[in-house]
Amino acid sequence: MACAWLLVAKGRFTTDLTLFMPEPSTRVEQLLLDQLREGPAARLMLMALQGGSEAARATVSKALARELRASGLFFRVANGELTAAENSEPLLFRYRYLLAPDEDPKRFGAEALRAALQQRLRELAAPLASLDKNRLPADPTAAFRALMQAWRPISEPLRREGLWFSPTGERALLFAETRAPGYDMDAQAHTVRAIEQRFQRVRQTPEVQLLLSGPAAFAVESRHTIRTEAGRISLAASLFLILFLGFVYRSPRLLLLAAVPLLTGTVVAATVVSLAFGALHGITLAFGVTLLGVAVDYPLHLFSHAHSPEPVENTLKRIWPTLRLGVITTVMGYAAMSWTDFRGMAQLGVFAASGLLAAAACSRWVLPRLFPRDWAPPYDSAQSRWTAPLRPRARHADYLLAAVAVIALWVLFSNRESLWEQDLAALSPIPASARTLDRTLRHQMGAPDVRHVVLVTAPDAETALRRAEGFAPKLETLVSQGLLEGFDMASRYLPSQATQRTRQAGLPAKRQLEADLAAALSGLPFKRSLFVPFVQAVAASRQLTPLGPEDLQGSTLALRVAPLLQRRQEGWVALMPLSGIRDEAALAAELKRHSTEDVHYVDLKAVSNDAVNHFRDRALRRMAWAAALVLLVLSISLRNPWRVLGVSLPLFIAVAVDLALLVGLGQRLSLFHLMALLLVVGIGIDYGLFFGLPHQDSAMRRRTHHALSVCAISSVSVFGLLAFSQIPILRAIGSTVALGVLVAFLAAMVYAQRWRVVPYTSRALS
Amino acid sequence: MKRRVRPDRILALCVLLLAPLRGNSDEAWGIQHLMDALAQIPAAKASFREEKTLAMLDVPLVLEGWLYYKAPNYLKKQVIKPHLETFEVEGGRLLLNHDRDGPRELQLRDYPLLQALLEAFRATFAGDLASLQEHYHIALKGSAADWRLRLEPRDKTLAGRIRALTLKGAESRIYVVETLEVGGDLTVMKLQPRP
Repeated sequence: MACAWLLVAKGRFTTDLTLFMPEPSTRVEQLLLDQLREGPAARLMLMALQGGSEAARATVSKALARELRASGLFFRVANGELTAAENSEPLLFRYRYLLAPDEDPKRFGAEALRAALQQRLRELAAPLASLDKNRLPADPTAAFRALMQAWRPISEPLRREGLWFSPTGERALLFAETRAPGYDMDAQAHTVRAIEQRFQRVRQTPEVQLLLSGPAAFAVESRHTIRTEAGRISLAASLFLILFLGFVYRSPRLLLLAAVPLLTGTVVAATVVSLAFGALHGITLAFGVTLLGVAVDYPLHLFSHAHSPEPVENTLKRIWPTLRLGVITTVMGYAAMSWTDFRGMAQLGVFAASGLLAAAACSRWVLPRLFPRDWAPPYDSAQSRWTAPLRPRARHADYLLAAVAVIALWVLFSNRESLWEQDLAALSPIPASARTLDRTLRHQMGAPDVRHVVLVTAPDAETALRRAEGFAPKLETLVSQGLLEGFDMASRYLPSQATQRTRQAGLPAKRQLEADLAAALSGLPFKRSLFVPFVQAVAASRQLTPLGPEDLQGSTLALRVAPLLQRRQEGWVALMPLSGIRDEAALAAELKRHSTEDVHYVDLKAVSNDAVNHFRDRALRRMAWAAALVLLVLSISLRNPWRVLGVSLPLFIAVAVDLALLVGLGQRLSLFHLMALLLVVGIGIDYGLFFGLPHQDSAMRRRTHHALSVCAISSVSVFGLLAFSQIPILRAIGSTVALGVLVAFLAAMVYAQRWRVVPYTSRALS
Repeated sequence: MKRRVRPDRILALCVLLLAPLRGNSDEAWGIQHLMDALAQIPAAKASFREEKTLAMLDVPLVLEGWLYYKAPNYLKKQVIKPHLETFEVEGGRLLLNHDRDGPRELQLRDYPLLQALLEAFRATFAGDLASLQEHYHIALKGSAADWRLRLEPRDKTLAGRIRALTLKGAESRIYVVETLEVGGDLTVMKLQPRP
């Protein structure tokens, strides 16, 4: 109880997903992690409006964009509308000659000026002279217009009524960059809700629908899906348990008491983790409670073994040594997980270990006290009939099982290449249709692929920009070779200061420009003094201090540059996102050749897959150590090699057959299967220990059998329900545990019982 | 003895009988009449001379060429002097063609200001009063033989660039289009209808 108070008062829940990423081992992984955490790609929300008439979609698009901008939840909201700011930035106008992409040294010569002026004259003759008529005196070469055009995204969506639409026009497109960082699930969920609310407000007809996509939307959606599924399944499982245990034990009091150790364990575990790590991660709680499933068995053992006239306390004392051994070995297995440099798994290990210890302690010392003094069980487990069918009939069940195990091993061996799930996306609870939508929207929006990016590191911003500029020609070559469609980089919008100075040096001196301008103007009807502002602007540009990233604060240029040029702890990094990859392998090979210490090509998906695979290998190794440790402890405690074999062989068989069945069912193994195996082993140890108890009279043997049957049936059913979930993760855990526990039960029953006495001698069993 | 029919009597009778058929020539002539008259024309062709007086220029820009119209929404301005250029509007599409740049196609709904401006021409040629009233404040002066139509844009953005469009004509022929921009720049296009 005290713990519960502590938890409620001080407990901090976090939903930071990146705790569950392994610690980065290379610089590239660190950059990847940073991008996932804070990068703009993680903050992107893609929205599409479909249904209704095109005019309705356009109206709603404008209204929604307006509402979202006003909400303050986004850095920017874009729907194709040219907001006035984009077109009349004084800073950009002043710096147009330094930022402009045109580097032709002759562009200010008399000939080029004359051509430009004639072009302007022609534009003046057009029915509606263009917007920059009043810019003409200061910018006759239309440098600002060229700048704006150069900055248009590589592929912009179709424009209708001035707004973005999908190519067929059936969807209006918008995107927004959230202020909430990508890893903060709660903030993202809040943003998603806000979008939906505002859409309801501005949607004019019920025909217009909103489609939301993007990493943040996915994360929120998956969280929601997992919660509802888990909730539904928990409900079904609880219902089943209540009915089943009610049938077996016929006492509502026992039902309630059965939950006590688990709840205690959960609360204690959560407290310990909160104190040790400062916060409890939502995922830790969810998976940790799963791992604590072993604790449900403890009270069941007590209930099944209880018989009148023996007081409950004594029953417990009798079975306690076995239970204790089981607890210790399981805790060791879980604790082995916490010894890792991976915060999320460490949390999980600590949670499970501490929770289990608490649950066991509760079962031992608290539970008996909750029984009334003269309580007698309303059933006699030794007499129960329904467990009879669960006894193995086959004569040579042990040989049969051994054969099955060998087959299982063969299956695993022959499938060893395709055993593991390589593609993280397959574990995603997001349905494939949603992922396809995201891809489509992203492509239509011209949003750069978040997956392929060239990272350029440098100690400062200027070097980063210069290095990126230096690398750009190589990428241009690859574009012309057709390996990709294009790329973006910060120096496209904000050239390095070195480049800016070069351009400055290329600007003509005042006298020269005046002379050339006079020559260009001869014969043209422009007023003499019209272009004085132009001459002054060029002269001023020669004196301007080149722009750096800090100077862009508050301008729209900052929004473009920020995702492409970022400051990190160890320096700066410039990103060059690649889009329209046609041939991934060839591109990777080419870029690898050109990579240097500071320029890396990263395929985010491959890197994250690798990172998880890395972790999985480490986890496997750790589990091997844990297994050795458990065997050691068993040997020391049981002292009888046959008993040890009787406990460990069923586990081994259970794991082998379980994995083989999963592979046979077409599942590919992942981290979650491994975690579920831990639980199978934890439960299986108990079975082995209890089935292998020596010195049991027949009544006690039947009670043991009863206890273990109840445990097995409840575990298999609850996790079996999970196995039917839509969500791959839950399905993995459920099927692994259900199948594993079943096999462990059968194997323990066969082997542990056989080898609880030394074979071929007849020791008394009394 | 037969009475001879007197021709002047017959004439007077005819005049009296046919009087109602002469139409409402006494009714006041107004915008609807003008629009109706213009709507009768299915197609027109005219040569134009356009003079643009801009504050930036010493001398006015002069353009010459041909203007074509076909009911209900086809307009073509073919510039011959001083350079070759074509602006062709059909429905919602605008086709630009400059001899150096080559053809370009635009959707007018992406350029609402341009669309409103072109509508002044098209709606007037087509006699589409409803559309004209939707985009402009209309003021009509004069008579059928010599009328002056002044259009002031309703849309605020367009009104910030164009002060007024004035069309002058006689009967169903338009002779002058004057565009007065905010800031004083004036474009005067004189049309000579050709068969």
